[in-house]
Amino acid sequence: MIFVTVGVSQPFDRLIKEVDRISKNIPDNMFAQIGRSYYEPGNIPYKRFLSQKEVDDYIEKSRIVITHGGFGSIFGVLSKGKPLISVPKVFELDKTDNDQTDLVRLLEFEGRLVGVYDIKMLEKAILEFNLAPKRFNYNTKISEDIDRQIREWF
Amino acid sequence: MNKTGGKKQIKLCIVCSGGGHLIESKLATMTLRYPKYYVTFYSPHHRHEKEKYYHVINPYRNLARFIINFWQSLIIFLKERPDIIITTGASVVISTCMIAKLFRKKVIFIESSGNPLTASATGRLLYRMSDLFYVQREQQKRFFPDARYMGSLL
Repeated sequence: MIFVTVGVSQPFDRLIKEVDRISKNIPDNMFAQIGRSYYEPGNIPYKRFLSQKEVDDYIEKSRIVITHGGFGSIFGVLSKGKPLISVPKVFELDKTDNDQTDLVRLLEFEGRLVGVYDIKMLEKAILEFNLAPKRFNYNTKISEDIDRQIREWF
Repeated sequence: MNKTGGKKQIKLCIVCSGGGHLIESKLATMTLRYPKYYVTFYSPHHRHEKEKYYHVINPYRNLARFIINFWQSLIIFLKERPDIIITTGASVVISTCMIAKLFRKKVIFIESSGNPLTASATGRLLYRMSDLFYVQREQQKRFFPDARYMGSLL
C-alpha cells in the first residue's frame, strides 16, 4: 500500500496528476487524500478529506507514504517511523504562498526522508526506495521552557 | 473572575493558521496545564474535538480581509481576555498579537519549522513585539539573535 496526502489547506495538482499517471507502473495499491486539489485521479481510489483517524490508519498500513512538504503531513509520517517520500510545493509551479523546498531538503540531508524535486523522478524514487526508517527522536523542550517562563512571569 | 489559591487563573490563547501550524502549536504547548482556547482557520474536524475553537478568515495579502480578520480577532480577544498569546504564525496571527500588545499581554512566538532556513515574514514583523521568541533551528539565530533555541518539534 502507498498512501498519498497533500494536506487539506491548498491544492497540489502537480503531485496528484503524476501519482495518477504512474500508478499503473507501481506494484503497490495506492490511495490518495487530495484535499483541495482540482485534479481528480482516474486510476486510483481517492478521497478529498479523511478524518485524522483514517489518515493514521492509512499511514500505519502503508509501505511508503508520499506527502507534500508541509509540517503536518511530514510529522504525521515521521512520528510513526514510516518511510516517506516528500515532494515540496514550490513558488513558481504551484502558486503557493509557502515554498516547502527548504524543509524537505533539510530533512533529506538528515536522512529522514527522500525528497523529490523534479516530479518526473517520482516513479523512480518509489521503485528504488531503500531508505531505512528511523526512530522518531523527540528532543524539544519548548513546551517545558514556556511553562517555566510563565511561572516566572506570573 | 476565576480564582485559584487567591491568584488569578492564567488563560492562554493559541493562535495560528490551520494544518501544520496548528499541529506545531499543539506540540509546543503539550505540557501547559492552563485553560486555553484556539483561534485558527475553519476546519470541519474541530467540532469533534473537546478543545475550544474560534475561527477567523485568512488575511493573506488583502487589506479588506485583514480588516475583517482584525475585527474577528478583537471580538474574540475581548470576550476571552487571555493573559498569554502563543503562536506559530502565519499572517493570520498578526491582528491578535497586535491587540494583545495594546492590552499589555504577553506574546510568545515560535518560528515554524516549516521554514527552517529563512526568516518568515510574520516572524520578522512580530520579533521585536514578542516577549519570548523561539527558533527551531540554531541557524535562524542569524535572523533573530535574541531568540531561544530549545530543539525542533520535527
